[in-house]
Amino acid sequence: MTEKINEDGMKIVYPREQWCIACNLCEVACMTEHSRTKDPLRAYLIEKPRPVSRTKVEYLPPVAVSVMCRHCAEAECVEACKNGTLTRDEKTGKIELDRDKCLGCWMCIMACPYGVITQVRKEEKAVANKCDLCPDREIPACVAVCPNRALVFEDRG
Amino acid sequence: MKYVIIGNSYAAVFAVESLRKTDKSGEITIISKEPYHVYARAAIHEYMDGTIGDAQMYYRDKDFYEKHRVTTIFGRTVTGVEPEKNRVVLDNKQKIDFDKLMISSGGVPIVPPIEDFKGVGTFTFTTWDDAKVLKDWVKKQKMPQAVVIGGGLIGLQCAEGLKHMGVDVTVVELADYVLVKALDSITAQRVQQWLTHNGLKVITGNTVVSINRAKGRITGVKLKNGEKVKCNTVVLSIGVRPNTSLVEGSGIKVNRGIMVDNSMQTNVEGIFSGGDVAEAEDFLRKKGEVMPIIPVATMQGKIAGFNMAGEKRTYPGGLLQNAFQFFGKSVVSIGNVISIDHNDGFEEIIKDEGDVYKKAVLQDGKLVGVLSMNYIARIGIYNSIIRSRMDVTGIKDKLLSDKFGFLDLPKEFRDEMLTKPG
Repeated sequence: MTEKINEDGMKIVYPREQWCIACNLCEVACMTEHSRTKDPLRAYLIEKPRPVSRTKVEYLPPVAVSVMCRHCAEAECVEACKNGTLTRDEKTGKIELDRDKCLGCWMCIMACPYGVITQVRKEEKAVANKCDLCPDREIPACVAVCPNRALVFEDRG
Repeated sequence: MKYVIIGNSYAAVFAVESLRKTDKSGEITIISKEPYHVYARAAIHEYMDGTIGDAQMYYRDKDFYEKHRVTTIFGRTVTGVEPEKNRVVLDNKQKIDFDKLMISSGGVPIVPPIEDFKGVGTFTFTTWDDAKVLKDWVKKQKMPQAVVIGGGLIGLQCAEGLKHMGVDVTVVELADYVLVKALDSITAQRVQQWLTHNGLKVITGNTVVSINRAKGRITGVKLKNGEKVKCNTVVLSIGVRPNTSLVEGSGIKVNRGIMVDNSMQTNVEGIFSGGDVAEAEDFLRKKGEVMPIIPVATMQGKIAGFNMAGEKRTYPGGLLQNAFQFFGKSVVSIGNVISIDHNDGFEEIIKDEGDVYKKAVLQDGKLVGVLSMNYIARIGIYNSIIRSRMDVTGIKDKLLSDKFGFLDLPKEFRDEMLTKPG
């Protein structure tokens, strides 16, 4: 892998697998946060398109881990993106995804070494979808909801 | 410090961005023959058929050059590079001095010896202008019928675009199957069936030898086997070759492309190259290779930019990768997906269930390639496995499972990936 430099350091979500109990609440919280109604039942049952969680809980008993975008300093998704839909905000360090621009070519899904970019419906087309660190919240929804501190919001840069 | 960058596409943009991260004050000049703000070359087929408009075509924001303090010279071609004088010469004889030079002049369409391949009704398909010209032409035809020569990625994307525009399209591919660089014969056949199902005609193992005309208008093409195909439009897309003519006689070494080391520097100090024109190390084969794909171009541009600005960075070698869709079906191809040399320690694992086809190629117990059709979720994880060179013999059975993930991989590897900044 390329040598990575994260000179500014930034807070992202880190999983702590020793504490994860595969309760999947992070997925529910993520889906709800990114819904229109902000209500888990409505989001899941009524909203169309149904919002999609941007974190994925892997479970291979007895171990579980929740995996989402790492907001890489030199992100492979940004390097693979065909038309500049994915960019790095040099001020915040966040990898931003412009849904209006996305062509749905899936070069990012192919490139992301963490496998954390998914597809979501937007009107008639499908576009890329990934963790945005919950811009409307101080602490991302998945971290806030985790009962076990198996997800932490930290700067390890 | 004066930096000059030849070209204005994926490699050039990443060179600019990494240059500016390191050197805030040097002068950067971009020279490009196309008169456009940097655009998504890989999306011209979607522009042509109207799927996307101008807004989705621009690769970077309108203020990109301003923000990175780049001087642009558009509409000019570099005709020569003079390393001993540290300057490049333009087609209008203007000379531009540099301290460090980046050559990312891209590729030029390969034109085969087809009789009468010129003039009205013949097109190539690599630039935005190509797409605009072809679009206008097709709209003017009462009964647009096109022959696309070349069943590689660009050819098929162009063919799909034309089909969406109501054109009757025949693709002619010289190899035994389409997308020969990215697929194996099984997936190629399925893609081909899918294309046919969607109304494209695909002819393989054949090629166009001449173009027939009447009163200056194309009436059809003649194939190698004597067969004739009626058409009024011929699009040539059998691939591109590195655009190296500008360095001829300069002393810069060229094999298939401009040869660079792992700092992306050519044999001439201070002159770098990247993108479709460059020949750099292939991660798997450990030898020089031209890899005309976006993630390779951007990574090379990035590495070149850092090194030009004096921040030492090493190119880890390019890995072939492609993701594409035809009429809504997705295919992803990573690394070496065709293990021709089965005796060379190669092993293939195939999962073929219903609509989904997945294949992993192992060499001496290490993952070297993955091919997947109609299933792309989390497929990028295989990149990390290929790059890590880890032995996957012990997890062979799980490798292609839909549930495959980090928990199937060694804990040290997982910790390295998930507990440190990306």
